[in-house]
Amino acid sequence: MKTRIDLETMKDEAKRVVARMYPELDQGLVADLLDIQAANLQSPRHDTAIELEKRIKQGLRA
Amino acid sequence: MKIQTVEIEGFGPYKERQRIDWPANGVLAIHGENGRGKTTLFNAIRYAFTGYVKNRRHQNIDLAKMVNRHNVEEGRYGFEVKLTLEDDGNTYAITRSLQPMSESVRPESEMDYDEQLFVERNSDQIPSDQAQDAVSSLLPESISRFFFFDGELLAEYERLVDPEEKEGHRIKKEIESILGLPVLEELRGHMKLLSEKAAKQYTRLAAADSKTQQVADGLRDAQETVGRLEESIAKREGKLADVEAGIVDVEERVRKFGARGEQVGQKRAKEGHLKQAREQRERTVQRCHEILRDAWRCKLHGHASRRIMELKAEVGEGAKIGQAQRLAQELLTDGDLIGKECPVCSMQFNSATIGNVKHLAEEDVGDVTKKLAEIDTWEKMVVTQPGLAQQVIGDVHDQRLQVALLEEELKELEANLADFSEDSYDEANRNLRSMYSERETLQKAIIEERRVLKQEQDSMEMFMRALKKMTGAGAHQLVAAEAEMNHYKSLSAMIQSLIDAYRERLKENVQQAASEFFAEISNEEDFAALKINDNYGMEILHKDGTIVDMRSAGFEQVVAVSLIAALHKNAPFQGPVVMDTFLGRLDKMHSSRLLEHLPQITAQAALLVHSNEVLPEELHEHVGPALKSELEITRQRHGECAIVKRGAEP
Repeated sequence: MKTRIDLETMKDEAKRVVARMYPELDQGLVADLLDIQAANLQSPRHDTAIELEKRIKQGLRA
Repeated sequence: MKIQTVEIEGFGPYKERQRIDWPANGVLAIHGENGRGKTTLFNAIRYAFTGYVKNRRHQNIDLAKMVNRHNVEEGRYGFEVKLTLEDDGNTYAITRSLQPMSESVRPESEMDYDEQLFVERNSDQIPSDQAQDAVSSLLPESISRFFFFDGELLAEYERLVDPEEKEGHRIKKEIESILGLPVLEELRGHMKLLSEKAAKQYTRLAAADSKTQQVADGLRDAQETVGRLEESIAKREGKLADVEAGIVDVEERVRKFGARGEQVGQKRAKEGHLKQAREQRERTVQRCHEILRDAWRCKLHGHASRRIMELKAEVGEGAKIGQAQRLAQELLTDGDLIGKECPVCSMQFNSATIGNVKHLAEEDVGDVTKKLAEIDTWEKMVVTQPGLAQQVIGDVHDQRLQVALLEEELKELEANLADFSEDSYDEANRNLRSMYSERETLQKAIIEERRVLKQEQDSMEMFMRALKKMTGAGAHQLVAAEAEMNHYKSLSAMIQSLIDAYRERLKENVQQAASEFFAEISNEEDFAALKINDNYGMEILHKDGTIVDMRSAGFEQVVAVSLIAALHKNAPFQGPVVMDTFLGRLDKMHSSRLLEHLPQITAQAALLVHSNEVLPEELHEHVGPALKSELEITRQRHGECAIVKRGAEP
């Protein structure tokens, strides 16, 4: 089931949460994870997890 | 999403094809007196999206009942509802229809029909196996109630105010669904999976090193147990949620049995009373028979009582003499009494007194035993007291009357319940008891598993700390795996914090928007704000800072409307709102204000109204230029209606 979301508001909130509580995390990474999750709402769970993992590992390598 | 057209054929009273052109913006009013088919039209539109039709008690209706009756008489079965709409720059055509499964068999129920769903996007047919998903993505069922609502929905919102109300949690989930929260919950789920994967990788690497192998094995065992427990808890929680939802439904069913359900209880209590009363009456009748068998003895009562008294006196006197005689006889057996002392008067016996003793010893004092036997005979003869028979006969009469009254009352209750299925009532209550028991078992099991889970998580932490101490700087791979694992942990914690923060933000936004809407609609001078609870229930905050406890039913509805308005304002999904016979629940002042503010709730609204709710001229006055189109449901004949432009000739 597709769920409509207000991605910009979520990203905005995520930015604040990261700045306030998780400064060690990369804000760009968090925004990307939200993008991936939002874009894959109708994909199988496994595919979305793989995409998220790819992006996280890419951040770790950098 | 915006609806462009609605077409209905063969559905309910809409025998011939009816078409509604929906204004792109503003309010569409559809007038119709009671019984014309407003709710059927409402159901038809909802049916196109969801595939079901519900009655006012929110139970699914057998779709075969929605087929137009005149068509059935003419041998035409089935119906069709077609919607065209625009969403995100795309045009969709949704056609949902019910067709008889076989041409040779006359369909009787829904089972005899096939449902067909065709969906086109920009004139391209969507494959049939994806059609329902496409419709669900346009308007997910879980949020459809926020777009298609009637007075029943408002009543449900009252439950949100009670934090203990289980139904409230379900509605809360639906509200969070319309506000877009599930996307974050999905992300949290993925982070958890990836976190576990990273932790397992770390453990595998640690187990490969002989120095850390033992601790790593312990860690792996703990991880596996935690995984199993989490899975089991999740399953049980899912099951618990199902059971609780089931309880809500069955409790509602039992509630709906209402007064008739209470009458079943009364009837059964009455049956118990009647059984007891009949048994008591039988016992009393039996006793009455026994009493009447000896009733003639009452005639002897006076004479017998006197004789018993005489005999008792004689027996008393005789007993005293008998005692003295026994003493005299004992003295005489002791030999010569001359010179001996009397044990009674302490005087010395002489010949005169010895003569008295001898006389006493030989005197005939009468037969006490015979007298006692006579007393017994008389007493048995008069055991029946005068008046007892009348009293027992009176009791029999009273008890017969009581039995007759109870039988009468029972008959009345049975007549009231003649068309009532006690089996269904009993079954619902049995189900409820069984579900309560299942819920308790699940809750206990979850508590126990959580306790063990906590222990295992503590063990995991302990093994992790031990491994960290043992890992030397040279173990690069392990250090990297640990860093990755910690990174996932941070991300998971961040997503949880984001969910909490986002939820709070949504609630604040909803609270703010609802307060503003409520202030405009209610015009209450003492009103300060609406305060939202965890379930998105709304409480009215007075200017003095206190919560307004006693809210009238009308006010509840205004609060509920304010919540709906706030949800629409904050939802990322915008769509048409269809309100069925909704204004009747509000007083004139509030309904006129709601009409004035309707365009604030949604860009596209349809109102299904009858003249008792709002007069057409009032509608014009309050909705103003936002009222773009007015239609009327007219009756062609019994069981057949048409939708026409208001004011046009039918």
